[in-house]
Amino acid sequence: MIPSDVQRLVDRHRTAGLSLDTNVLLLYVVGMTDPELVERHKRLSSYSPDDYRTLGDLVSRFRTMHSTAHVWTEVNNLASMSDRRATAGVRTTIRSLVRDWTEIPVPGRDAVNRDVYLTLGFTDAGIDSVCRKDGPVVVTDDVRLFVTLAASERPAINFSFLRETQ
Amino acid sequence: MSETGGNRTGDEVNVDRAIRVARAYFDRVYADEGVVNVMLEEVLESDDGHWSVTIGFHRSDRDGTGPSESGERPPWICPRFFEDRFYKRITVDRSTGEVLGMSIRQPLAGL
Repeated sequence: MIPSDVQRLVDRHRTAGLSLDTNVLLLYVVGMTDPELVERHKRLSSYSPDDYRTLGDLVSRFRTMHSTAHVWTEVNNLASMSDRRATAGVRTTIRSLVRDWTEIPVPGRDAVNRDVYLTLGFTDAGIDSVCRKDGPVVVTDDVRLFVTLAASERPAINFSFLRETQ
Repeated sequence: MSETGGNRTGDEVNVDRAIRVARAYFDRVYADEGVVNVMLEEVLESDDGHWSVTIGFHRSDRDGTGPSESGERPPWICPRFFEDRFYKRITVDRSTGEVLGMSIRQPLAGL
């Protein structure tokens, strides 16, 4: 069940696509590998398999998916699990998605030149540097990144809004 | 600030329950305050292992939503939405489900 406010963003940006921040993308790749892994992953302790299904529903409504190399790097570094087979499975999912999704180039200089670099860090500042009003919708679970984007009228969804309505 | 929680069962309080506890606590504390646009904003595991639940809201007399431009966008894609928005962080004990405290959260501080 997608809230009507979120659905309006989907309708408006369906072709421009969707982009996920690090934690939300980690939830997506781990859940896509096996929803039951979500509760076993130490970095996903605040999520459940139902959250992955909610996210999967949202992703399915967009025509294109986008990410940056910096986000993929963070996700890849966080993907390791105690179980080697699970780690290999998650990495296989990452490989498939990196091949399929559009990668938005983010020069490091552009990221560190953003004011928000000092508070949000390199990867989120990179997202901030490439997020456009008519571009892909950014989904984040970080309230600071969400406020930074939405307050400057760029399309963003706070994933917590979706969790409360599932 | 013992509140809400539930009985100690020996099992850890999961995130869904922590959200419900925090929301119920917020609703009770602000029952007579006239708040609108109450939304779950963020859920984190704090450094000491408890749940940190952030809830955002507007006062009803300053609801952050101006005249709708076209209705095509959600109300939060707008600088005005954030001008008078308040955020409270509620800490829920992971073992007992009790509310340990509530503090002010300022997402834009330092930006």
